[in-house]
Amino acid sequence: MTDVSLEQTSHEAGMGDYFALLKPRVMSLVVFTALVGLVVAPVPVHPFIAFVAILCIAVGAGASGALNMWWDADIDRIMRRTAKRPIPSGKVQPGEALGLGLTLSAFSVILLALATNFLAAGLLAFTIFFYAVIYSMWLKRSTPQNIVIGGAAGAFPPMIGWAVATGGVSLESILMFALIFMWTPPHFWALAIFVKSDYGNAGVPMLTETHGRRVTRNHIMGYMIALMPVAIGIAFTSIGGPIYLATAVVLNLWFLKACVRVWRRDETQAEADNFAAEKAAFKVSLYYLFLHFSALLAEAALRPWGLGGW
Amino acid sequence: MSIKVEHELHQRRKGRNMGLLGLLLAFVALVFLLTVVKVQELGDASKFQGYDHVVQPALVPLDRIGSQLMGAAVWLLGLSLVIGATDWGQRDLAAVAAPKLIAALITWLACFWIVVQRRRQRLQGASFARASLLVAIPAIIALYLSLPTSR
Repeated sequence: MTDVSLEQTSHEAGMGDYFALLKPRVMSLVVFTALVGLVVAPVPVHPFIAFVAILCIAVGAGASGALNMWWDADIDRIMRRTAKRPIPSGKVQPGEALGLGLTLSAFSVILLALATNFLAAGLLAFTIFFYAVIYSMWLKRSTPQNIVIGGAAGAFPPMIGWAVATGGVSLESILMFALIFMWTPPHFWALAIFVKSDYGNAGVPMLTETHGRRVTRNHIMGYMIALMPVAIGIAFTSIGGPIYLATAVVLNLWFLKACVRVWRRDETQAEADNFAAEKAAFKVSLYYLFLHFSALLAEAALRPWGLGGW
Repeated sequence: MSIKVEHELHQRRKGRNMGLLGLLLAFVALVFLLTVVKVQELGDASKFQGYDHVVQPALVPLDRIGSQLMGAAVWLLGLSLVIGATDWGQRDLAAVAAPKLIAALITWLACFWIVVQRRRQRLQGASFARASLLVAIPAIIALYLSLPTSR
């Protein structure tokens, strides 16, 4: 207690510390996928309203990040990766993070409702609730499938973007949701295999620690197979087209190859080359998601010239 | 009223305060621009409730009802004056309260004049409403004079 208060006097929270509570790196993914969801929708949106909508979605995602940091401050303090976050490092008080999270949640949902429509605002509110309550408070510490179900929170933004434009939910927006949802497990577990985490010390059940790396490798393979039909299926909806189909086929073969490599190895092989295959699969997973959404964006951008779509 | 004494806190919190100022200004700009865009998106001017110089369509039925009521007032008041006149003819004229009779006559004439002007399309909308309000003055005086205490 004493050294915590000592730290508080030496580091006063600045704007940057409050901004760090909003998890800016997660926010960038949210902004990109929400923007794609909004742009590919068949209904045009005024550029400024689109800007406000994306801002609201980003702030809402940031607010759920602040709530997550408030709730997880105890385990963040134990783990090396998270020990420098604003609350465990003593720069921001837990109560401040809670206040900021709740205020920004209400602010972003209300502004989104006023600027666009109630469905989009409702989806944003549900996303914040899902990430802060369902994932952070409930699943994260109780099941090794935590990141699978928690991945839904990260999958909602394109659906919200679509709802901003159309005011509804459709097959296309559900498939964009499913793409991120099914992508999260292979992406995250590839990382979990090669990063030496201390989740165990913090009492968080990660699949690599509860069931071992062999089971994790099998899970990566299973989710990869389930991901492929979703990713390729999008090509045949109204937002897909030949550019997307070609991109999706190449990316899925590439990611499948990387996952098969991870699946066939055992721990001695992995340690021999310092987890090269796992690191490669993780890297491919980043390109995989980014390029799928970029291809959707390209289809929408080329549509006015009659080049996008089927 | 500027703060003259510089406190250590002012320097220490400067970044935070300036950041908050920036955020608040950005928020004001955001709401302003959002309002501009939303209003422009309405497009059709008839969606606004801004009938400053013309009759609002929603008020047209009300205007017609007002004109019919004024016509009814002329008939009723005229009828009551005729009934009164036959009564006075059988009695002493001194029994008639002159101020009350004058006020009632002025009211009737005013109502009649409004109805005539309305027929000639000279009193429409707001001017008809104003004239109808003015006619309430002699009508209220006539009513006051017919109260038992004013006799």
